[in-house]
Amino acid sequence: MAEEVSSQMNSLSISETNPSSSATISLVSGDDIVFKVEPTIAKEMETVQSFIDETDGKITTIPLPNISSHDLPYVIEYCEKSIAGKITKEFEAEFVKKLNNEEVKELFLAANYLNIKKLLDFLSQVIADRIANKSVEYVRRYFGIENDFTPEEEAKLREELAWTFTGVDPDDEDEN
Amino acid sequence: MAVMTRNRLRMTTEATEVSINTILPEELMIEILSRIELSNPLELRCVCKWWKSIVADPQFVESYLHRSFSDVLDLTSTAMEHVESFESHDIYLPADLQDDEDDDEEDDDDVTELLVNKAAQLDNFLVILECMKGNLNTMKVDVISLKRRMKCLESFLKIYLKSAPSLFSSV
Repeated sequence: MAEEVSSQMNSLSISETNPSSSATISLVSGDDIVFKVEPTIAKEMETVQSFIDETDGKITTIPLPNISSHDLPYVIEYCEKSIAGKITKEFEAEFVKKLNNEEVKELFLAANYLNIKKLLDFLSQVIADRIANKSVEYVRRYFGIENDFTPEEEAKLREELAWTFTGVDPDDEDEN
Repeated sequence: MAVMTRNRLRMTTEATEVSINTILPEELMIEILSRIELSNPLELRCVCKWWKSIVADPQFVESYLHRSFSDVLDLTSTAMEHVESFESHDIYLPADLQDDEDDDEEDDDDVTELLVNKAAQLDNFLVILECMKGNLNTMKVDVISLKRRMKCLESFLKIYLKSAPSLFSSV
């Protein structure tokens, strides 16, 4: 099944005789690096595809000012796996292993901007898992949230929390 | 996808000035918060005022309660399964282990055979015991987490009901 799809991809990339449907798409990152991808990849990125559709496929160079050349390859890699039907638990685990917290958030924003539903779902779960059962301070640091409670307000909340205190995982400092 | 439509927040505007981190927009934060596997949502309330308001949001409360109940049900039903497995072990308990202990020992072959049998039975018994011990430990862990969940749930409901009396006066 997956084999079939990837061989289709190959035939798509070879048949350049029909430029309107199979010309490669150039994605330009915020720092002006060009990434050439197959049209099938662009289809995974709804934002990009709707841009192509709006211009009847005449424009194949798409600027993505919000996405850096550091993040874009990850997005492309995920989309490639996705159209090849090769998104497995193992692949996803390997994929996030390479990413630190900041990168996960950046990719998450990129997925949101490009409107890639699968990647967005996947990364929100990753972030949720990374902050589950962490301390309040860790969560604040993770998201860059400022504590806007007065000391009295916070003390009261902490007191309520203490009734149920069940212990949190140790903060993994090396992550950030 | 709508970007930054709802506007009940202070967080992003305030926090961007302070932090060098990547700041996520509100609707993405909600997406994440709805997925957190929570043992205790009261911790989230301490993060900032906006998170505190999210935790009291009826939609959040509903999904938290829903998940909590199904977790509790799961834990209970696995505990029940373990209990049932204890019952099924009963049949194997070798009640006759000591029965013919003082049989005559005239035939060496018989004695050997008997001993081998006993040993096999004991072996079997040991395996069952090990297995029961494992089950007991899992049950213990399950029951502890069940207790925790119930305690968290109880305090959460207390605080939620206290902080949102308006919701219930109208019912």
